[in-house]
Amino acid sequence: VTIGLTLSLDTSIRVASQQVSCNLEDEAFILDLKSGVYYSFNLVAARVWELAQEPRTVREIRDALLAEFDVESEECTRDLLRLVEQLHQRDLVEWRNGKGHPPR
Amino acid sequence: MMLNETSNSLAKGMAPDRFHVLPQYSREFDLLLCCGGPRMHSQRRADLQSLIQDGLDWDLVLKLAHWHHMLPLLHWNLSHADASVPAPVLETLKRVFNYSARLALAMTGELMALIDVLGEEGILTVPYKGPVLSERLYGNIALRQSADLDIIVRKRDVESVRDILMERGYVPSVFVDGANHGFQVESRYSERFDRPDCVVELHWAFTNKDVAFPLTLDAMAPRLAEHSLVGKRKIPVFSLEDSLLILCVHGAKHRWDRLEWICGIAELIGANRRLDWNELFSRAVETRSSRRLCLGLALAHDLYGIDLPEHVRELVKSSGELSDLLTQVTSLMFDGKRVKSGTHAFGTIQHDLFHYKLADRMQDRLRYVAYRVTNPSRPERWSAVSVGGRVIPLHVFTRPFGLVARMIRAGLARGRDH
Repeated sequence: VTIGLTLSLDTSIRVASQQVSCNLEDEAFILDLKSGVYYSFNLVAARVWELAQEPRTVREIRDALLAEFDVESEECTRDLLRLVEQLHQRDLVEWRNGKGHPPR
Repeated sequence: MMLNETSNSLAKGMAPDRFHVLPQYSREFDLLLCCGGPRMHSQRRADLQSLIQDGLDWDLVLKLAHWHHMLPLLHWNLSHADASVPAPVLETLKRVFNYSARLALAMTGELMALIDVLGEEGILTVPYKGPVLSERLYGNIALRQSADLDIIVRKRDVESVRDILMERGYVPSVFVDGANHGFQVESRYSERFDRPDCVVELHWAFTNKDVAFPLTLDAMAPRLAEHSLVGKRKIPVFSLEDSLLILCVHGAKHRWDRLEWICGIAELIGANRRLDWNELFSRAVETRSSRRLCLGLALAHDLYGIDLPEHVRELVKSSGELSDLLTQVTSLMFDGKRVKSGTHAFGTIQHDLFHYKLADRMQDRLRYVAYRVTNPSRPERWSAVSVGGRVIPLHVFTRPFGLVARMIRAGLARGRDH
């Protein structure tokens, strides 16, 4: 499955550095330090955010979600890719294909 | 008044060997006590459910939680309680919690930026209280209500930090210039800076000169610890022992007016088995703050049932004026009427007597009295002149006359009333 030219299940993603967040059990709040915009994530998106604190492929995150939530694989993959693309458009995640992320 | 043995959860097996007899308190206050921390043990959970099922004045619960800065912890615990909390109460708490979480995030971002900017100038900056303390105590920056960012720097760096804060758009809350500002830095311990999106409280000490607490950042620098803030970056923080001592001194300074302060030290002690009690007490003796430490430990023990080692219990028990100080704090804390009316109900004389009794040594008590007699409580009322490079505080000479005039006016007013 691919969206656009670059995002696929093998893409490695990691949360961007210019944000701060806090997890609140069933949701998460994120503040983009560059734009000053707040985001509120629901339970599943908050779990994606938590997993993406360290570099992981979309496939690894998808597999973790499938293990933790009652959701069909196809639906999970589609929704996850859409979420990652939205996060990327807002500069909240970085993604890489082929290579790992540089250390911070 | 004695503790009502049937209604208060603290009577059910917690801290049976208390340092003082707790005054009676409301079921609504009892609910706050049950919510002291993000991790609730089974007895507290059962007490919480029982209190909710038996019915509560929820308006008073919210007022008490607001007063004691417990709204985030109340939300956290009630939203996971297996009992029916009225929906409007949960909605109110959720709204406040979301606001508090957004504020904590904004302050966290600004704190990281400030530490970077000040670090580039070679200025050691240590945050305390605010989101950092929230995360250290409760594991989450959003669980402690904070309105400002408290940072401490070395006294010699104050002027540079002041300039940097103003460059970043902050405005000092009280404009004090020239000789007066130099005198303020020598005499006070902090200065507040406002910006529309954030408030910074810049500290260079922990107390005014009325209270003896000679603990400096220079002295603490070699033993600073590191904390990973929101998992993003490591920042310097006080060691466990220094943190506990500073929190006890801070709580005492404000007469432990907020339950959250006691809850915080109970969490800090409960979650850190490696606390070095001998080091803590020897540092308290060095900084002449033994009574303030003992009062904080006794409150955490009596209200939250924290375990204290036997030798620590004996040290606390032998602390002078402990019973009287404890009774003053809890009587005021459990007084629901003042929360309903929004008044502090702790007069100036009571305030002064409380601090007088808290001082470890007679010379510290005399120092407190001398300071109070010669220094206005508000810095904007200070006046100083610079003569030949020396700053001479004029208010030291005028303040005693002002006090006498106030006492005469108060006496005359009482006479007219009678």
